[in-house]
Amino acid sequence: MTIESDLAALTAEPPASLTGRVLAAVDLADEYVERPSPLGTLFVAFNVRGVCAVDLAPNAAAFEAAHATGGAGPRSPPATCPIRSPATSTPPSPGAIRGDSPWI
Amino acid sequence: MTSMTDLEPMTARLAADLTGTFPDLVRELSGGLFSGALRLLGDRQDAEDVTQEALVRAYRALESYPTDRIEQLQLRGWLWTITANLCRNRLRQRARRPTTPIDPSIAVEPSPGPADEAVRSETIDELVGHLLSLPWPMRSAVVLRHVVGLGADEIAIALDRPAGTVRSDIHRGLARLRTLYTEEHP
Repeated sequence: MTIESDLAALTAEPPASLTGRVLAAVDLADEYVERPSPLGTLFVAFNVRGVCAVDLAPNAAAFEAAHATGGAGPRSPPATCPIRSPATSTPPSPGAIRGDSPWI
Repeated sequence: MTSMTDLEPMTARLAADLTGTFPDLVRELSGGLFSGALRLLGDRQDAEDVTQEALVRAYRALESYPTDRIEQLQLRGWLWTITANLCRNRLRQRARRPTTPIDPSIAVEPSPGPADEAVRSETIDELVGHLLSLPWPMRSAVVLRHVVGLGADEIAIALDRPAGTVRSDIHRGLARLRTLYTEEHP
């Protein structure tokens, strides 16, 4: 072993969340939640600007495939692009439209 | 290892479609930035923060650049200009605060194994400590060359030093590391 090869072994994996955090910080990461509805599973994608897509889809992969837009859409898998849990969303304000969505 | 030539199409792609290509840049280059920052700073949380901040600053800068400037960028050297400056700032901030002991767990990924693996892990731990004891010019040049894998010309851009000075710093840094190792293992 040489000191050069020992140095080359000092690489380290960044945390899996890093990519998602960077993309979220520059407004390139969309996140989404899925909610059951009488019409089927409803997917709502959002980013720092607000809701950017609402759609029905049979599963997450189908939703991601339908809304992949060259990096700006919700194509990041949940593992690298954390999905906000509805439980942590702001509760509905008085007088808001009642529904099952965490945003209304 | 990604070479400068491999990244040339990425600069063209960034120029043509910044928002579409930037996620690929992050996925492809964040590992090298994080590894280098970790070995320059000796602290995993600081390395995470610096890597994220560097990539965000890079995106903001790219947004403001005309396409021909993006196409002509030497991407890794340019990214490391931002990252190395942030690392230096972080070290200066830390120097003004009470020192925190270096977390030994950052030296190598934990890997249970036989006794020779344990000895090797100890050697790597020592190397990490020696690396952090080098003065900044040598440490930065050695880390960017041998941990991150940049060429001398890219390092010259990143550290804003002549390539000849960079080569000299790498040479002297490696010599210092060998000396430190020999002193501990006569």
